[in-house]
Amino acid sequence: MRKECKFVKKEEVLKIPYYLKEKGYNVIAPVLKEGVIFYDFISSPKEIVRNVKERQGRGFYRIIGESNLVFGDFTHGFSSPKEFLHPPTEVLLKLERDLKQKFETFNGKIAFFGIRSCDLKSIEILDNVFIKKNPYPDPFYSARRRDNFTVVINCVNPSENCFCSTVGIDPFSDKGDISLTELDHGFIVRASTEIGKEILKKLQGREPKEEEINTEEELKRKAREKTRKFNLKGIHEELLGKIGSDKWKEIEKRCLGCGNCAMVCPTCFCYDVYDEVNFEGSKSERVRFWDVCFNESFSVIHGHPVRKSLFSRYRQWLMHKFSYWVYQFGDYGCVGCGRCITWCPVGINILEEVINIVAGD
Amino acid sequence: MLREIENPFKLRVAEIVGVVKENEITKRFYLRVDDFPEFKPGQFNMLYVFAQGESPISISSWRKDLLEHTVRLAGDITEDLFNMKEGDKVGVRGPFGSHFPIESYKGKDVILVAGGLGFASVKPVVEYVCSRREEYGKVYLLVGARTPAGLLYKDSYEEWEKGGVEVLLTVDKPDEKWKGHVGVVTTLFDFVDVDPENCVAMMCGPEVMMYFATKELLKIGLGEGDIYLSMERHMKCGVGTCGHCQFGYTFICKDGPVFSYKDVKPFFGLKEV
Repeated sequence: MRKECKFVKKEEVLKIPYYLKEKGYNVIAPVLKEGVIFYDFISSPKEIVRNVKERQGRGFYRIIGESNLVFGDFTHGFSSPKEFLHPPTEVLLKLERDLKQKFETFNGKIAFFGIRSCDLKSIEILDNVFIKKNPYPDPFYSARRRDNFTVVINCVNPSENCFCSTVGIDPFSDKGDISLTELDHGFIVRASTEIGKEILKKLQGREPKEEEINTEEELKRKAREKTRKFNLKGIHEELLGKIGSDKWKEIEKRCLGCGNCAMVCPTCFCYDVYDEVNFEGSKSERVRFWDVCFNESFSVIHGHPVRKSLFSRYRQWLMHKFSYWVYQFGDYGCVGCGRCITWCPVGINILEEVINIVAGD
Repeated sequence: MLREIENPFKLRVAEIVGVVKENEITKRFYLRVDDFPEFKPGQFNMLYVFAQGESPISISSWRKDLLEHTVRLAGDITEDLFNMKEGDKVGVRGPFGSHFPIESYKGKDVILVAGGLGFASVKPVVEYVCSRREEYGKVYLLVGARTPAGLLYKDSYEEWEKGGVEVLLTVDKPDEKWKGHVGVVTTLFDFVDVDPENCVAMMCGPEVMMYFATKELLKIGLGEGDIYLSMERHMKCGVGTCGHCQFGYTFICKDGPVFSYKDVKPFFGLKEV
C-alpha cells in the first residue's frame, strides 16, 4: 500500500492515542514510573512519558534529565510488547475434579503507541513461534494479537547498548501502521494502512519540506551507523561448530544465572505450566508463566537436570538466540534492543560473547 | 477467523480400565478414550492428573481399541499416575510428535533397540511389524535393562518370537536366576546378521546407550538416514511453545521425539546440550 506522509507539530502526535481510543483500542504506551520507562495500558495521553533523557549502559539504566525532544532522547525500558501478547501469566484451562473444562481468550484489541523498530520486529518473531510456524497455533497469543495497531517511533538516538542494525533491523521502520520521526521542530508522520491513513488525515499538518526529508535521512544514517557493530553473516553455522569449545566456560566467572536477560528479552518465549488449585481442592487452573533456560530445572530427563553447569545454560541461551533460532524460525532470536545488556546485573554483553566464541580457540 | 483456533491445551477425558504391574516402579495402564485420533508408533501423549499437572508419556502399544501407556515412578506426576486404579480418570492430549517411519521400509531388514523404559516407544513398532511380518526381511529386537526385573513386557516375547521377531535380551546386573546374556545392549550386535544396505534401525533408550548403538550401526554399515532414535526431555506443552524440550535446534515435542541420526548429528552425544 502506498504510504502517506505529513509533517506535524510536536503536540499533534499526542492526539494519535485519543483517536485510537475512539476506535476502540486498548492503548499501550511508554510511561515513566519509579525512574524507569516501561510500556503500560494508558487511559489518557497525559500518562505517556515525554521530554526525558535516558542513559543505558552495561547493567546501567538512568533517567538523567530533561530533553527538548519529546520521544527522541530515550529508547525503551525493560518491558516489551511480549508482556502484553504473551503475558507473564496466563490461564490456559479451568478444570473441575471430573475434568470438566473451560477457557477464555482475551477479548479486545490492542494498539501499541510508541514502540520501537526492534519491538515491532519482536512481534513478527513471536508470531512465528506461536502462530505462523507452529502446527498448533496458540489461541491465547492469537487473541491478543488480533487487530493490533502499531505506532512506531523511529530511534534518532539509539542507546549505547542498541545493536539492531547488526541483526538486520533498521532503527527506522516503515512496517508499523504509523511511524514517527522526530525532528527539532516537529514530527514526520507516515501511515501505511487504511486505519493509519484515516488517523493521519485527522492530524493537522502539511507536506514535509525537502530539507526536512533530508534531515530525516541524515538521522537515519547516523542511527544505522551507531547500531551496526559487527558482521554476523553466517554466525548461526559458525556457532554450531563451536558448541564443544572450552571458551564457553569463561562465562561462569561472570554470569550469575539469574535469568534477567531472558525475562527482559522481547523474544524469549519459554514458559512453565503449573496447577493453581482452590482451597477445597475441587477446582484447578492450568497457568502458564514465563520460565527461563537459566533455571537448572528447565531441561530435565526423569527428574534429573540435563544442563547442570551454569555455562551450559548460558550456552543454551546464546546458541538459541544466534544459531538454533535461525534453523527453527528463519530469523535470529535477537532484535538488538540491548535490554539484556542493560538489565544484566553484571553487565554481560551478548554480542561480545558471540564474538569471543567465534574468535577462535 | 482467529476465534476458530482450537485450544491445544484442552484435554480428552480417559478412564483407566486396566493396570498391569511390570515391576516395582513400572506399570502399564490401559485407557479408554472416546474418539482418540489416529496415532503412529513412537508418538506420545500428555497425561494429566487433576490438580497435579501433565507429563509426556509414550504410547506403548499399536492396539487401537485402548490406549496403552507405560509409567515409571520418576516425579510427582508419575507418582500420582502410578497410584491410580481402574475407574480413575486422567486427562489426555495428543497424539504428539514424529513417529518411527517403519511403513517406509518395506522389504528391509529391521533392527529395533530398546533400553530400559525406552522400550515403551519401540514396542508399537514391534507390534506393527508382527502384524505384517511378511512385508519385512529379518527382524531383530535387542532389549537391554539394568537388571532382569527391569526387562519390560516379558509376557509378549514368546508371541513376538512366534511372529518371526528374533528377541535378544541382555542385562547389566544379573541375579542368580538369570541365565541369559550379560552386558550393555551394544554387545548384542554380535548376534545380528543383516544386509546393511537394506536395513533400518530404530531405537529408544538412555542417550548414552543410543550414542553407542548408533556407533555400532554405522560400523555395520547402515546409512545415517536409516538410523532412527527417539529422544527425551521433559515437556510442559507438547506443542512447541514452552521451550523446555529443546535439544540443539530441535524441539523434541514437534520435530521429534523420533529423529534420524542425520537430523541430530551436529549435537548428538554432546554433554549438557
